[in-house]
Amino acid sequence: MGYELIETVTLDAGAAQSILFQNIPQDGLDLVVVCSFRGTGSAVTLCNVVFNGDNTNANYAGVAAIGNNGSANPDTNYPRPMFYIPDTRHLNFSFGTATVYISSYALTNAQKPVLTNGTVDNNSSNDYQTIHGSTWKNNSAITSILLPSSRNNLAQWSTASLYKITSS
Amino acid sequence: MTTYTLIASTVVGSSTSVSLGSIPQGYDDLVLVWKGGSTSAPSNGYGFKVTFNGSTGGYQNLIMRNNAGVALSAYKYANWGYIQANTLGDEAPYEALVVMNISEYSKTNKFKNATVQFNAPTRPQQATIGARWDNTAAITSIQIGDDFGNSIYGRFYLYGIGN
Repeated sequence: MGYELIETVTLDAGAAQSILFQNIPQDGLDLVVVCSFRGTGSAVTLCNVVFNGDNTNANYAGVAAIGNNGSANPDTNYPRPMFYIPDTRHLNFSFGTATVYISSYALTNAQKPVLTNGTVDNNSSNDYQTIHGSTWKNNSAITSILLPSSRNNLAQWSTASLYKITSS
Repeated sequence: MTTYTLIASTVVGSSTSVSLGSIPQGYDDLVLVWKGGSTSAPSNGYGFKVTFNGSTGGYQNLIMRNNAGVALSAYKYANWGYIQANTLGDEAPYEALVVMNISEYSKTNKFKNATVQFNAPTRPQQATIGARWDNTAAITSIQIGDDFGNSIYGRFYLYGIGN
């Protein structure tokens, strides 16, 4: 089983509202997206993942466990794969980390289960830890993944890498 | 092809600290895996600790864990002296399995993030830890110990992920 990099996008030149992976090759078993994000807004910021341009929440189902400032809570308000992003209230140089694991993305006869794990650390408040399980209720193969910021832009040096898991 | 390349491994019988040094800087991320434990019965609330480059300050820890069937709980250890990799099992052999992903360890324009998956089967306890080291220095060494000062043992493997 291999773990093959498809593409890395780094916002070297400056901020952008999102990172988009297109024309995803269909010869893998699963996909893994590894993100290192920071936002340019000044309040709570999320990334809600979009597959194949489908941003209709009703087409997804998801449940989260969210840790925030020392308390843990279940949350069913986020049907799309999601994770938090640090914002300008957080220390400079602090980026959040998230991993999005997408199973059976190339199948055309099955819905797509997703597991997301993300962390935004801080040394005062406004920290978030998420474990999110979701399903894109669509049998289509996933050919594009959009990683948008819910508020303002993704900051310069934000990075996302897309990997495919292969059978050889 | 991106691969997991074994950078270092060590088997430790009993030591207060395990150090993995001279980490090459050519990979994207690191994965540290170990199965081990304490040579002494644990006191409540201690377990593995991890530091980078020997630094003992600037670690932020967020923990969500399920401990012996108790409802999911969250903890925060801000400005800590190390990454708190959570508690060991409280029944012999006082062990845990730990997988730590360290992102962009060589980047000098970002603080360093680590995500830990933790399982102490005899407690039982499972946890996920999101940690950040507030330092832009490249990580060149990793130290593992016990936050109560007891000796630890185990098998430790450090992998580089890269092309």
